[in-house]
Amino acid sequence: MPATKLQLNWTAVGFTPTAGVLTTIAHVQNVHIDPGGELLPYSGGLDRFPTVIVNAYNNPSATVESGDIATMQGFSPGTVGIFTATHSDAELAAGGAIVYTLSNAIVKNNPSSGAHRQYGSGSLSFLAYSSDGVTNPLAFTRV
Amino acid sequence: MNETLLATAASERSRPDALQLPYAWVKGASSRSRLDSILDPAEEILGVKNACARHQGGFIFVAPDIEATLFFPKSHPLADQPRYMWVAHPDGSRRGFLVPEAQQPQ
Repeated sequence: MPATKLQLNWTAVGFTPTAGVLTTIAHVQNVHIDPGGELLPYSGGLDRFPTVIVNAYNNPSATVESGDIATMQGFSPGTVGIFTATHSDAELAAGGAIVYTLSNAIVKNNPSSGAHRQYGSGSLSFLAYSSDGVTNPLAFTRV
Repeated sequence: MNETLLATAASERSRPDALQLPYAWVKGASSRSRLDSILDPAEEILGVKNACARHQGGFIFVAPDIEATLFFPKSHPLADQPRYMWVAHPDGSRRGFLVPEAQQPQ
């Protein structure tokens, strides 16, 4: 079966703290991967619009939303590690999944909530630094 | 080491350690097919499976190791110096060969 060119649902969403072991997050409802591109516009003199706009900085991040509150609350803000998530092919075709890996990921926050007669849910968000200041901590691989 | 000697030594090696690929290599209508268009030829050139690709702004950095960096880490004595000797290839890619210092455990 050929790949559908559509991604659907997430598997193997987890976080590996430095010098720790991979912990998989269950009940994943959403994963948000953000390359964090930022633009720096320039203007001067009588300019009313930017005359130059460059992408000189990126601040990648990732956020997981899940019902697995306990696991996500197990990682306190400031914890460093590797975040991974696999976006599956819509029909689970071989060769269709995309694996996102955020190296040097640092836990930013892990809030949770639960409304009356609703399943509780929470999120786990990450920022990531670059070891050399140049290499993008966000990488794409395949399974 | 002399950079000319290093470049000569690097070019005599059959397999590079990493690649810089132009965005022109990216083809396809879906995210996965676009990723395949980069990683299929890159893994063949590198002689590895499961290489990883990173958007670097201007080029795509492909390496077999998720921990690979273009420069030595800020915490390393050689911080801000390149970890690879880059050699331009006729196919438009740049092929990277680890400098001797980068071949040692960090």
